[in-house]
Amino acid sequence: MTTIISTEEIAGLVQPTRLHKRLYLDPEVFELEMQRIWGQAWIFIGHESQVPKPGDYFTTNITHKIPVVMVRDKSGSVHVLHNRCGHKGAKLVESRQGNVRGAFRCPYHGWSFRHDGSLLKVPNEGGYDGTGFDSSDPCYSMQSVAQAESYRGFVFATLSAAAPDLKTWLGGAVDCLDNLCDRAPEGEVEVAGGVLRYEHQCNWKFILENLNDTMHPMVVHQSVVQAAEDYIASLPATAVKQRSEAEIIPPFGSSYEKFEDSGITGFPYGHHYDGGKTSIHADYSVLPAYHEAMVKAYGEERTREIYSFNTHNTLYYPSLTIKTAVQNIRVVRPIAVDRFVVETWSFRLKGAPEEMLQRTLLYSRLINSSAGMVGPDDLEVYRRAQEGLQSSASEWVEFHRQYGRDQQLEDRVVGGGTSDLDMRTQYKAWREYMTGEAFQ
Amino acid sequence: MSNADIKAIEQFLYHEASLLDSPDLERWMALFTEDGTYWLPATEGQTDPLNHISHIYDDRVMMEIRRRNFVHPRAASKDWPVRSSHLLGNIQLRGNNDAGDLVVTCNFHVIMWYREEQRCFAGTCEHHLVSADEGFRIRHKRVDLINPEAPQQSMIIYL
Repeated sequence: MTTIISTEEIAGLVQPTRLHKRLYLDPEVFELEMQRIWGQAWIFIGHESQVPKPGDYFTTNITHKIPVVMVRDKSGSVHVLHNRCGHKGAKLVESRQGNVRGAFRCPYHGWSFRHDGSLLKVPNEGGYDGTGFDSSDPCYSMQSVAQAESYRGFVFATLSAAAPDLKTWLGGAVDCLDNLCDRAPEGEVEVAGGVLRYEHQCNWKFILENLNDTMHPMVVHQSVVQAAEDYIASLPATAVKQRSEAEIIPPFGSSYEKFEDSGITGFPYGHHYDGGKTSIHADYSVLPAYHEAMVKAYGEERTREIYSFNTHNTLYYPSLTIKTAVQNIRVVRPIAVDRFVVETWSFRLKGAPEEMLQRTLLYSRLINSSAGMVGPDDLEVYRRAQEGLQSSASEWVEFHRQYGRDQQLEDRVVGGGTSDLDMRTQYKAWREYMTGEAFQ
Repeated sequence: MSNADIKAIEQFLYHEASLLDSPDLERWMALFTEDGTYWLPATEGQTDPLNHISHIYDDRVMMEIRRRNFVHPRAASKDWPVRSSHLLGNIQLRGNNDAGDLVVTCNFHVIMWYREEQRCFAGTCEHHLVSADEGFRIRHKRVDLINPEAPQQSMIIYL
């Protein structure tokens, strides 16, 4: 799609303390975001544990439209390929996951492709003799995306050959992926217990802005926090099970002071997290059998160190957000300027008691489900913003909180937990991707 | 089982659905046994509510928090009226399970009005019923949507 928005115009939409409403409303801006942000950044595709055996595949879209497939080959390597036949362009696989056995086979004319995407066979190929058709030309294969890499099982891909390697791109924010995996006694996690898909009728950036927006929980989630607190207060002292189940909710109503203390840390390319030394997840009780398995694997000191790095939400801009202490992730899949889907995946900590997965799933159900008690109130306020921004009252959305107080360290920026440092971090990246400066 | 018994079971299911349609979650919850559970699986043929994700799997603890939240004046998502209309059909008695509970299945269509949009849900329900002085109580209600894997919009109330 050719665009009529100039780079200067784009750059002017993001200012140090305010954003233009076109970021949320303008379909042309959205199309450009798909090309320049989602078409360049490392996008989370899936986890290697979703394709354990040769021929196993998992499909998704890397931008709002471009279909890709993650597949494991016979040697155990995982590839990310364009889900497109090299002949007429038909999608090779349609299911969300499955196994293609020996090769991909197109349902249209039967062209087949190896697990690495290379062309295996064209039926009745004599018809191509002497036509100039070169079966070794990669354009007739299932092409690989520009780059694909895995970090501790988390598979990312980018459509940009200019993107730095994944580890460089993750930067210091990689600590959170490490911490998630280190919370497993065996140092590895695997996807378990299926997925929730939640349709959001608003711009995809609202959820990213909300992750480390610590000024909203005590307002947006006040009702469910009070409901849980009133209920807990009504319980007799003997109701241990009920209490432990209900305790997931009240931290969402933590005070401004508590959130301020947790801090926000920002990184290049738009990544950020809140928490570190502490977070609203820090007071969840530790299951004794889990603690025992951890100490056996790591020793007491290292175990404490792993627990003590306690973050709330980490964003790997723009597609992946993880909760290390809870072991679930949310994946953002944009569809249109006012529509996206959030996928919630849960992880099993290898070597931990099964109750840990059950607790993760309980959390996902209560907090992230479309029928949960936290997600629908978040979505409601995003939708109010999506609708309210149509107003002609102002062209701009502000984010001044603690502006000028961020502290620049060598590889990161740190600031107060109730600051807009997260907004400054992600919109700096937005501007760099959108104006072509990100990978210069 | 006599025709009168079957009629009583049908009437109980209609009554339960009407409390959701009202909506009157307090009286609806009171239909459940103390160990009662409500389950809205997230995948077809799901066998495990604890080790696999669900849209909802509530015991009385979570029902109670949900009920209190539902009527709280500060829940933005509840600013909009939620109105539903349940239609139940194909009611079938499936005999007693190992716990001795009476298993009843039915098909349902629910039309829901929320956020100025009308939405449709369809699927099958399974009730595990216990005889009680006042008729029946629900030990377990399972709701299988025909599209449990689809991306769902906010679901504000039980189906």
